Amino acid sequence: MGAAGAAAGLPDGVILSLDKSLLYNIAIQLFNVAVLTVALIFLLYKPVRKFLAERRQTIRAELEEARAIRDEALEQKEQYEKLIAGIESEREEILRQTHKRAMEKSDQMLFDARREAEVIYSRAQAELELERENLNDEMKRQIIEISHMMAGRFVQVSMDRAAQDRFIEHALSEWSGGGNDDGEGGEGEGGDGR
Amino acid sequence: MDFSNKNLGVLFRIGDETIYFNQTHLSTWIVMGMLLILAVIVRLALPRFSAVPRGFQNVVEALVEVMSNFAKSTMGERFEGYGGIYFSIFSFILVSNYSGLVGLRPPTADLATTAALGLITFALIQIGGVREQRGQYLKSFFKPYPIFFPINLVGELSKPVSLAFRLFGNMLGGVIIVGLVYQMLPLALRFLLPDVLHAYFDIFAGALQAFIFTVLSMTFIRQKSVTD
Repeated sequence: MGAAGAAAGLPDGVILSLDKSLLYNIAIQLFNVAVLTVALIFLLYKPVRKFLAERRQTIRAELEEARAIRDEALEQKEQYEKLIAGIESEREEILRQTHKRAMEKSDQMLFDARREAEVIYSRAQAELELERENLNDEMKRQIIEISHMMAGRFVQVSMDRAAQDRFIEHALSEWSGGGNDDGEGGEGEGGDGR
Repeated sequence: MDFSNKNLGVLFRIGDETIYFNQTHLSTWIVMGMLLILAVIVRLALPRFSAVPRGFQNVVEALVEVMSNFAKSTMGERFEGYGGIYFSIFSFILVSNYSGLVGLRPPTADLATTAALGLITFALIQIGGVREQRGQYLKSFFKPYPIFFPINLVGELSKPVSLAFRLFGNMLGGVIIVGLVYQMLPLALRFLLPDVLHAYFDIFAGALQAFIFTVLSMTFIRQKSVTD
């Protein structure tokens, strides 16, 4: 017996004893370990694992949600890009149409101005022609008058009033009948008159 | 020098047999008490655990996660349930082995404790084998030929024995060596020199033996639970 054991009337301890007391001690330790195992499993291991599983689930759900939001954002971005591309092409189409319409209008205006210019030009030509004819007539009349005055002075001495009128009428009718015969008729009449 | 497991009182009597309360029982209950207090603290703190772990929560989560993953990788997905059992056994062996650091006699330095642990593993091996292999499990003792039955039986029975004696021998050896060194050294040197021995026999060998016991147990269960 050891000192403490002897004082309490207890037998000495052993390092290793393969006897019946070992079986009882094994049973006691089995009970102890079993109780500890069950307690640790239900107090610590399972609750912590449940917590971890729930957190894993939460994180997974949040990741899924984040992924869904990202996909949605990407989809929206794609739509916006398509929209922007559509707007761009629409803008180009509008610009093209406007340019085309402006060109058409410009051509039309040019055409109208040209046509108007032609009308004005042809009218001016006609007026000019008319003016020229008037001037020709006037010139003829003045030439006649001058000729008449010269002839009047010339014949004042050798021709009477009736002969002068006849001569003038004859000359006028000759002029109005054809330009080429004028000289010949005039010369003829003039010759006759002389 | 006395390295025996001292009796501290009478625990109970069965017939003419007296079972004494010894140092192993005391150490076991202290270790159990510490682990149970830790478990209760974790249980109470669990509702306040945050999504981002830190400090104490981080340690608890890491311990549980590591053991769970270890059980899955060693035994497979179907044996995930064994993770809890071996988490408890590993914790018990580890804390028991480290209890020598605070002057207690490690419970694992007693064959009764290690034999109990070996028997638990033996029971789990048989339960796993019967559950997974059904009728084929008993037939496996007669393979490859029926004449091999005695060898297979001894091989099966030797598993808990080897597990128990390996752990017991290592821890008792550490206790004896460290105790001898303490006795050899003068009082002035007892505060520094034995630290190296404690670091090896208690901390390193303690963790190593807890790990070996757990890994071997899981491997044995896995071996017997796989259908040929």
